[in-house]
Amino acid sequence: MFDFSVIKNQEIAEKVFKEAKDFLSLCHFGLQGITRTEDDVKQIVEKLKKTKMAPLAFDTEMQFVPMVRELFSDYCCKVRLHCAVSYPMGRYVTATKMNTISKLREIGVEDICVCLDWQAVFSGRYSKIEAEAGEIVKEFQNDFYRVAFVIPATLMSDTQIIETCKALDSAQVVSVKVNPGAKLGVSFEEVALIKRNFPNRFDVHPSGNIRTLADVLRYREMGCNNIHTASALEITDAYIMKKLKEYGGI
Amino acid sequence: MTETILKKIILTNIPNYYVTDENCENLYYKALANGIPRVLIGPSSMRSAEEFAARGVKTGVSIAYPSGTVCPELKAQEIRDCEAESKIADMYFVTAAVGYFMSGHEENLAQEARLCKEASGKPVYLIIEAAEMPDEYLEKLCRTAKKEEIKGILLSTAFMPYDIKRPGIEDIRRVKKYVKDELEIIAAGVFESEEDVVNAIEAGADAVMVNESCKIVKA
Repeated sequence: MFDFSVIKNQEIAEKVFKEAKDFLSLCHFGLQGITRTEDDVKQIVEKLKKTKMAPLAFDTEMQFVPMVRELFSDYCCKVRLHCAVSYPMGRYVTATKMNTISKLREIGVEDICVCLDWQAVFSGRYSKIEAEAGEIVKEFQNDFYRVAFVIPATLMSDTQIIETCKALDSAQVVSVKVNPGAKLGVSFEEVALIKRNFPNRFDVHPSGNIRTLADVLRYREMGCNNIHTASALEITDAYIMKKLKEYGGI
Repeated sequence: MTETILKKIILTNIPNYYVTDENCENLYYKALANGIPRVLIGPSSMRSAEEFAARGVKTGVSIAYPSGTVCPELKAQEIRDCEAESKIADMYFVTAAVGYFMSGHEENLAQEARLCKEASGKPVYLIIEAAEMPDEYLEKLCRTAKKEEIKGILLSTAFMPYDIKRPGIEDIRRVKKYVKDELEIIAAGVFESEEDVVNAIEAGADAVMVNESCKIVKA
């Protein structure tokens, strides 16, 4: 992460730091996966703590939540914790999704994404999508910073995306995460399709395949303020360099 | 492929992103056509599978797949939720919290094995990532699985988006060394030929999980 102490002009350093902090606050950061150990998670937390900034949320697995919360207990910034439910293919039955979200609420996770039943999506069972999303929204929408519903847009036709979004609209869903990551990456066209067909309707969270500052800035221009990228810290560094060039800090 | 080998295959679609109701039905048709005795599906496929309930193919249902990172109580609850949704499951394949286990939480594995067994009374298998586990952890895991009377061990999620090592023949031998003949060993990974399947069995696997998209099983 960029070392702000090398900037001689203190005023510029403070200005860029504040802007970088705001920038990172729109991105998720964290570590997930079956073989991740506590040591892996501790390392990534330490990496984040060196920035003295907070992401929009720190993504972790349910079992690491107590440890991660403890690790951030002495941090200078408040860090929201994020967990994914039925990730990535949404194959849990609805009751299991409800039970999992309930548990996440109980242990104090502040932000979640819930994977829709992809088999229902690909089979055109949109009424099932609407019913499941509606049940979750009704019970949990107000208990988290965001309850985002994950659609595998890259694997869907335009019609499937639109029909799924119609079902989510009817279910009063607010946030839609476009792709789960896990080798399925968002495209500008997918976000544009949703924005065009549902203007000012959904809070769209692009996810996966976002690797550069240009990507993030373009999604922000498209109105996305909740971005999932595994490269959040590297992209924030690039943002800092861009700002320093603009302000003459280096 | 010989009948003896086909009897040792578990046909699955759980690692696949694109699964429709029709794909799920085809999974069963393919198993029936090839004389494959078991299939492994995700919970959201149970309804599609119900029409095949009495046709001779046993159904395994995956739990906490593919990450296995929820707490033991939720894994047991997922089994109860599946039982409430459908009676199709003959056995459950529970994804173990491998990373958490390798962080020193051995009691967590014992607890999830115990709770999941109690949840339905049906056979429970553990899904692990054998190739990612050093001998020390693999030995401990096998010891716990035996003690908790788990039915068997599936050596990998075979979930390709994970950037992790896939179990090979050597991993089958490692697991065999620790479980001997006390647990069923199910190989998983990439099987591109009949020879791959035969090699896995010769190395000590009692069964092999094969993706339904694999060309070695006839459509």
